[in-house]
Order: sequence, then C-alpha cells, then structure tokens
Amino acid sequence: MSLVWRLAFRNLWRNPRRSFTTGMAILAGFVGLTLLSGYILRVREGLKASTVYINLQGHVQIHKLGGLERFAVTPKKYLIQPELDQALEKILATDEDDIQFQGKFLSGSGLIIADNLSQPFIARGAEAQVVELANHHPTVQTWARGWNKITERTLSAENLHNPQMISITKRMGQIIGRLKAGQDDFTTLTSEQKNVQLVTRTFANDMNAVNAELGMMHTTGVALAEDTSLRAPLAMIQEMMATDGYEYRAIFLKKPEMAFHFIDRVKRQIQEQKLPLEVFHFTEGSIGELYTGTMNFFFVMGSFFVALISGMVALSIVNSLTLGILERTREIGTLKALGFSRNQIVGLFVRETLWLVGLSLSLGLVISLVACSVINAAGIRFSPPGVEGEVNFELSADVTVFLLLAVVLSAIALATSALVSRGRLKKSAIGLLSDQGV
Amino acid sequence: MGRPSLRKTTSRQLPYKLNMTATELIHIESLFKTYQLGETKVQALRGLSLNLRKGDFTVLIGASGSGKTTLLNVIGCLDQADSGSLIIDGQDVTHLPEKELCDLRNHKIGFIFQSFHLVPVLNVFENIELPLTIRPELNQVQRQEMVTQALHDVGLEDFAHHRPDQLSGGQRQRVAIARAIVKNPILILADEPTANLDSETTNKIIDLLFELNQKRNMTFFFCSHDEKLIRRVARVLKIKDGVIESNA
Repeated sequence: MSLVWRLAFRNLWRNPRRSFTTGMAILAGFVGLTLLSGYILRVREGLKASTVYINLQGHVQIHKLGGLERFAVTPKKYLIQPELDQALEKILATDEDDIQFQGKFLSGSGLIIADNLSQPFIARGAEAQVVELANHHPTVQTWARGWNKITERTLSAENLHNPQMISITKRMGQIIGRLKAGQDDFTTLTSEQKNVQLVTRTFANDMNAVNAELGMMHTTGVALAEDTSLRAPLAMIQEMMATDGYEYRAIFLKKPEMAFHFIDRVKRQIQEQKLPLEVFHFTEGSIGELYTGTMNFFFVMGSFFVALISGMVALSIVNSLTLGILERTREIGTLKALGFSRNQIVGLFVRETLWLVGLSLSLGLVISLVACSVINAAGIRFSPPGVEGEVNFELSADVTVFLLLAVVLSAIALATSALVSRGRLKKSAIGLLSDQGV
Repeated sequence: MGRPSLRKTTSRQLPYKLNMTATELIHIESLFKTYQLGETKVQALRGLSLNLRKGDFTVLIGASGSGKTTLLNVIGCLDQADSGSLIIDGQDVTHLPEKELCDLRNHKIGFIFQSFHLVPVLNVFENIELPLTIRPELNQVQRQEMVTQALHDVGLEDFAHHRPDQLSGGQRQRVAIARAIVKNPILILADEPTANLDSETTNKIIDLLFELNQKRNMTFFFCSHDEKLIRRVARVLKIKDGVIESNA
C-alpha cells in the first residue's frame, strides 16, 4: 500500500470519535437504504408473481384492437373470434420457443345465486391447465409463497378439471351463506349445498343461466375485489355468455426480461398481416394496476429516502472534513512546501473519505445481509392497507442492488470531500503554515 | 483572484539587467513585497537584490519584522513578490504557474522549519519518504535507498520506525533535515532551525548542517539569530527594513 494511502488511513485515527460518528452516519444511512430497497424489491417480485401468475395476467396480453379499454362497455365488439384467433396462433407459433405456456381468457359478470342469497360477480374464465401451470409456477413458490395459500389447498387436479367447478373468494362464500365463520373451504358442504347458479345477460343481451359447483377458493390479494371475484373454466364462461370467442390471450414467457423484445416481434407481424390486434406488457394500461401503482409509489418514496440519506451523508462528510482541515492547516502547509499540489492534497482527503466510506459500507453490507436473514426468519406477518389477509414481512437481499447503493453513496461522499477540501485549500502555503488552526 | 503582476511599473521599481555568473544559484533583483494588514500596508521587501552561489552556506540576520522570513518564503516559492525578479538555477520563477512552482519546490528546494512540522501519524522513515511519493519517476526501491541514505546522513538509522512523539527535539530536527535533503535539492532553506533546541543539540545540528553542506554540496540559506551558527558561516547577510544592509 502506498504511503499516501497509509497516511490517509492513519489520519482517520487522529480523531477516532469524529471518524466513528461520521462512519456511523454513513453506515446507518446505508443500512437504512438497503433494508428499504430490500423491502421494495421483495414487494416488487411478490407483486409481479401475483399479477402474472396468481392473477393469471401473463407477461404479455394480446387483445382485439381497443379491447383493453372498451371490452367492459361493448364486449361483443371486442371478442377475439375463432378466425382471428387462428391467424394469431400462426404468429405465436413462430415464437413458440420463447413461450412457456399461454391461455385464453374471457370475463363476464352476473349474479351468483345460492338458495335465497345472491351476490354480483365478475368472472374470469380460464383453461384448467393454464390455472394449474400458473399457480404451481416456481416463481410463485419463490416470491409469492403463502400469498395464494387458499388456492394451493384447493388446486387439486380433480377440482381443476371438473367442467362445473368454480372458484370463489372466502368473502363471497360468506356472503352467499356457504361459509361460516372459521371455515376455510367447502369440504364440509353437502353436494347439494355446493350447487349454485350463475345468472347473466349474454353478449347478445339474452338472459342465461348455468349450474356450477363450489369447490375451489382463491384470493385476489386485493381487498376491494374480494366481494365479487369468481373464476371458472373458460368453456363455462363462454357457454354462459353465449360465445365461442374470448377476451384476450395471456402469454407466459420463459424469459420475462425479454418480454419487450417478444412484444416488438409480435407487433411487427401483426402489423404486417394487418390484424386488428394489440399487444401489451403486463405493466401497461389497466392490466397490472396494483403492481404499477404500488411500484410507482415505492419509486417516489425510495427516491425521497435516497435523497434524504445522501444529504445526511454529505453533511457528515462536510462537517468531518472541515474540522479535519482546520486542525491540520500547518501540516497541509508543510505538504505544500514539500511540493504537493492542491490536487494532490485534495486527493489525500478524498482517500481519507474513501477509507471511511469503504469501511462503513463494508460493515453496513454485512449488517444489512444479516438483518435481512434475521427479519425473514422471524416470520413477521402484517396486513398492508388494501390487501386481503396478512402477508409475510420479508426482505430481498439483492447484493447487486446493495452494491449499487454503495456506489451511489460513495460517489456522493467522494464528490463532497473533493468539493469541500478544494474550497478549504485555496489558501497559500504561507497562509496555511502561519495559521493557528483551531 | 489572479496572481499579482511581478513586473508592474511602480515609481519605486528600478531598471535592471540580469548579470548571472556560472556559479550563481539564486539571483534576485529589486524585489518588492507589501502586506496588507487590515487597513495598514506593511512593506516587507523594498527593492531587495541578492546573489547566492552554489554550495554557499549563508545566514540571514536581522531584527524582527526586517523581512527575513518574507525573503525566505519568496526564495522558497511559498510566497510571491509584488515586483522584481527571482531566478533559481538559471530559471526565472517569477512567472511560473502554481503547478510548476510545486514541482520546483519538490525537486530543487528543501525546507527546514523551526517547529519541525513532521506528520505525527507517520514514522521517521515515512516522514522522510513523504516528498518522494509525489515523484512518479521514482520506484519503491529507489525511494527506500534515498531515504536510507538520508537517515544515515543524519544518524537516525536506528530510529526509522519511531513516531515523532517518541523522539527528542534534536532528533525531530534531524528528521526534518533528512526530509529536506532526501530529494537532493540544490537549495536548503531554513527558518530559525535551532531556535527550539538546547545548546548541546544546537551544536550537533550545526555540525550536521555543515557536514551535509560539504558532503552533498547543497546551498544552504538560513534565517537565524543563533550566534554559534553565525560565527561559523562564511557569509552573513544583514537585512534591515526590507533591503540587504550588509554583506559580510
């Protein structure tokens, strides 16, 4: 190690208390940021898994042109009919290596009736194998384990492949009188009690009704949607709405990070064939509103805390360096007399800061990783506002993000130390040598 | 604020022409330096002219406030004159930018301070090595050889790993001398180098300085009130009111 680096390191111990205080400010700020980023990352991955797989939105959705915004108003106009679907199938066949699995989905609304009780519902029809693949996807196990606890328990092959079987939420089960307090599934119901009717107005404005069987249960994760959410086999919803079309196709990709490249390719082919279709990423439009809304909030909050903590670190460095320079004015004058230029002396102070920041952040990194492990192991559960049920308070220890934060804080600390020391070292060598300091 | 013009025309500036001989190291002509102390202007140098030859051992004496330290600082390129000419080793340094002045101080000039000004967190070896660390042309081995030689010259080989606070005043001044000579400068400047030392240590330091002057053929230019030093040097300059009054 060169002498200048050694000198910078030893200068830290001239006033250990001040160095310790400054180091602690940097460390505390860094640990705070890493834990916050760990929580944001955890929520992001959890919400992504929930949106894409548990709520069956897929990474990419293909709608009829205008359908994403207007299907709910004039559904018949925006159905993807078999002829258009065939053309789409051909396009997707060229990209099948990128697709893990895909499915067709259809929404419809109506009234669920159980004896003399009824409740409005918004149903989503999906193919059984898609529901199975999505809910058992490894991403769900990794990032949203426990978020779909009820679904996991009821997602048996027998239930999934029963064409009459529907899934409702616990809340809806209580509203229609099929679940009593303390009951978490329909296993205690008789076969008669499991029978319900779904009454609706078809897309052709005719009244229609189908019989269904209670057996599965799911949660949307969103408190507001729990009263009305119903899931059913695609064929049942098509029968109920008297159509053989569907609303949209959801694509689940092998490499989600390549989604936008996939979208570009599909869009290009759709344009070439002049098909009335639109392709969306799940973060676009109203598809993943909970995900995008939550992440935007976290982005603003995270930026605010980064700015706040960066300011705190910068002020700590300013304070520490200013006092350090005032205490060592004669020594700095001596360095100038020995031939050190202002930049070389500034470099000495920057090295001091680099030592302090390096030590603080290294320790902070270890503390952050340990804290993440401890918090995750503690199994803390809480109910976030607007979310149905409790979720685990978990942190994602992403070392890359932690290192990125360390680089940001280091850059701020080094820039601050360079600016402060440059400003303070404008004095001439004589001025410094004759200075009495503090 | 920009550097003051060193050749600005003033009513006190005299016309001069350079007349350096081959053995001259320092050539000074008509140096003026004024300090502003609050609302008072203090004229520290008033058209001072001076020559120093290579290998000279010269002591500058004078009353307090006569301009000794100012002259030393200007020759050492730590301070700049308002006007006049300063030539060191054939190089006119009056208009040099700060970076070249730093190089000049690092390569050609060694300083010995009254209060030693050692870096307390570095040991003796490291203090002496410090001015060499900013010379990219020197590698680690060369630096170590130069420091070892300087330590040998001042007789501190056994104290290389001591910190300054573990040394006596005389030993500290020896370290400061070693730090000044390690760069093999052509000029050593010292401001009252024995003022903080006892009588016996002063004698030893003076012996050491003369020995280095002979051995390394460096030019020594000191400010001092020390009679022992004054009695032994070949040339004594007396400064009064910012001009050289006598040259003995």
